[in-house]
Amino acid sequence: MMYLKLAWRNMWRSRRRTLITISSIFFAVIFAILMRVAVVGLFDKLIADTVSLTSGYIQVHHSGYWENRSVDSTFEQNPKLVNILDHEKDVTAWAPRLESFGLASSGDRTKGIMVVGVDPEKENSVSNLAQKIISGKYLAENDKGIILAEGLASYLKLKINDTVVLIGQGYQGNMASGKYPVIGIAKLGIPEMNKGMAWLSMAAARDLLSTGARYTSISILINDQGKLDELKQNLILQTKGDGYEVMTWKEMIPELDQLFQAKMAQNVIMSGVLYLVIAFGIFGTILMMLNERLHEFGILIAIGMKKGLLAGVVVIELVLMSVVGIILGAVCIYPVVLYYHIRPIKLTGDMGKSTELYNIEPVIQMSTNISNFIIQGYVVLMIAIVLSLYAIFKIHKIKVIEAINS
Amino acid sequence: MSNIIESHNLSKVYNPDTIPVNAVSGVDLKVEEGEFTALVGPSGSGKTTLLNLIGGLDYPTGGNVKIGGIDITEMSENKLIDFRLKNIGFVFQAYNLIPVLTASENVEFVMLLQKTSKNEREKRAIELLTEVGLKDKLNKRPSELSGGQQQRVAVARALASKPRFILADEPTANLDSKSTENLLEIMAKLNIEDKMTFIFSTHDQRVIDKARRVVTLVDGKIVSDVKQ
Ligand SMILES: Nc1ncnc2c1ncn2[C@@H]1O[C@H](COP(=O)(O)OP(=O)(O)OP(=O)(O)O)[C@@H](O)[C@H]1O
Ligand SMILES: [Mg+2]
Repeated sequence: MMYLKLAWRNMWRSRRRTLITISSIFFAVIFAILMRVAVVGLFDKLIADTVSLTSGYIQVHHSGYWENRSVDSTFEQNPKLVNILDHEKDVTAWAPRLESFGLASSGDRTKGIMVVGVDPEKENSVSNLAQKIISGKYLAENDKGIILAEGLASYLKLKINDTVVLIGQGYQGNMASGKYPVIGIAKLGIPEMNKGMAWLSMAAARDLLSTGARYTSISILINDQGKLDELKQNLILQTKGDGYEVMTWKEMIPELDQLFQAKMAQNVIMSGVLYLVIAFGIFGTILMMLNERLHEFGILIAIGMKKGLLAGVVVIELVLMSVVGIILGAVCIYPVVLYYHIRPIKLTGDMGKSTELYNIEPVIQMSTNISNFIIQGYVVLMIAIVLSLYAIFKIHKIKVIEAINS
Repeated sequence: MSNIIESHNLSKVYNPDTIPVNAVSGVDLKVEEGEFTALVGPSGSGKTTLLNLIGGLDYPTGGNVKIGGIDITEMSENKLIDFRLKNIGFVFQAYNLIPVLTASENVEFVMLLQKTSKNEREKRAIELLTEVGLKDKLNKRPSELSGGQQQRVAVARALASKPRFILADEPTANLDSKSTENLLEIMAKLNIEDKMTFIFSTHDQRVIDKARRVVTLVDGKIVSDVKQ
């Protein structure tokens, strides 16, 4: 206790220096956290928006389906699979889909799209599609109508109750074509998806594609991203021999994961520069501290304090200083992050345009995931501890008499 | 009476490879329990060097030092630190104390190093500071104390570890005459009442007068050794 007290009081000895050190840590932590939660938040949303409507975080499909995504590579409804999914605790929700590429046309305009047959209720539990409807209504079971993404509808100049024609290839070479009244328009954040998606009820889609009671895939929503690979392995194990393939979104849409990793790498470099600056600050503090207190260290060693213990007290002091900076930074920035989580920042002008180039919705919704805070705090703490090694080294090299005479 | 300190042919040569300085050469010194001994001599005569060697703060280049029969010149640095903690009290010329700790915390600190219990530490710190006349300054930081008061705290701290003897290198050098007298009185009282052995270096004639044995060094050698 007394050692802690000693460290704490020593820390406030050069109040100004300590305040400068602490505030440099404070600001570095704030900026690093902000940069991180912005990128993580941006991608969390991008990934969620993308995968929930397309691949799912995890997808179960017929072995080999993902390679060419042909309607021929479908599988039949299977109570065993349903049972597994319903009982797997890491599966937050799941939805069967019957997907196919095709052409949508109206008047003189035609566009290649992805048409998805869904079980309306289950689909909504995975992708929140009903909430994205901006006009008209959501699908009902066995609905005969179609939902168009907003960009697609406006390209085809279609409004609610207008009719769209779908043409494509059905099961085993069957011709697929049908006319559907537009019952709803859904606005999607991701520009590319907003321009090229449409939804039918499962019954209508099966009719269109002549697949009978078959699916192309089951998309799974999971809340805990840390469980992604674990769940995948789990499902593989449980469906072994049934001819299924289980894939994660990272395998299905590697570009998205790569883009995320690249952004994070950029982020690490930028925070690295920030941390380099504070590392110099902390190091300067250590140098001055060692210099100013050399006489005192000499006295302490003379009266019987082991160098290891002395070094320990100095390390505690440095760690305390960093922890104060880290906690203050994290606590002060948390409300800001929370605010921009609830009210995401809408990027406008050039910034907004550049995100659209990347096919990202121009909205930054900051991530409130505590791990982002912990990681940054951890990094600063590690820097302080690594730099303290220098102090430990120097203390072990102290010559008592020289120190006392300094 | 037994010898608590015994040096045999003790020598210290500085800069042996360039311009050698024989700071202490061939000193045979025996100190008995209960002594109140002054180490005197002109500046540069080796007083500080000798005290450092006896106190295990420095290693000799020749000869040895035995404390209570144990040769300390063979000890590793860490062992020596521990030995100092258990056996030797130190009072330096100035700035002896940890600035961020109060007088009583400074005294407690060595007991903490000795792993004395908290209650015992607090009790003894108060006792000792009372003994050196600082009962009313327990919670003052060194910066709030005069030089003389600081030296008295240093004496109390040196006593706190219950050492075999206390070494003091010019403990009064930075003090005015009144504080000097006061500190000497306290040291003398501790010597008589508690049988604490003191060895101190000094230039001050009034301090020398208080000593019961005066060892004079010149050029690193003992030139006279008088009991008075
Ligand atoms: N670290 C050192 N390196 C080289 N020479 C030293 C060192 N320390 C002391 N000396 C020399 O050793 C001799 C003895 O010095 P010491 O400090 O022991 O004398 P002193 O009697 O304590 O002097 P003073 O009364 O001035 O304190 C002097 O010649 C001094 O210059
Ligand atoms: Mg000296």
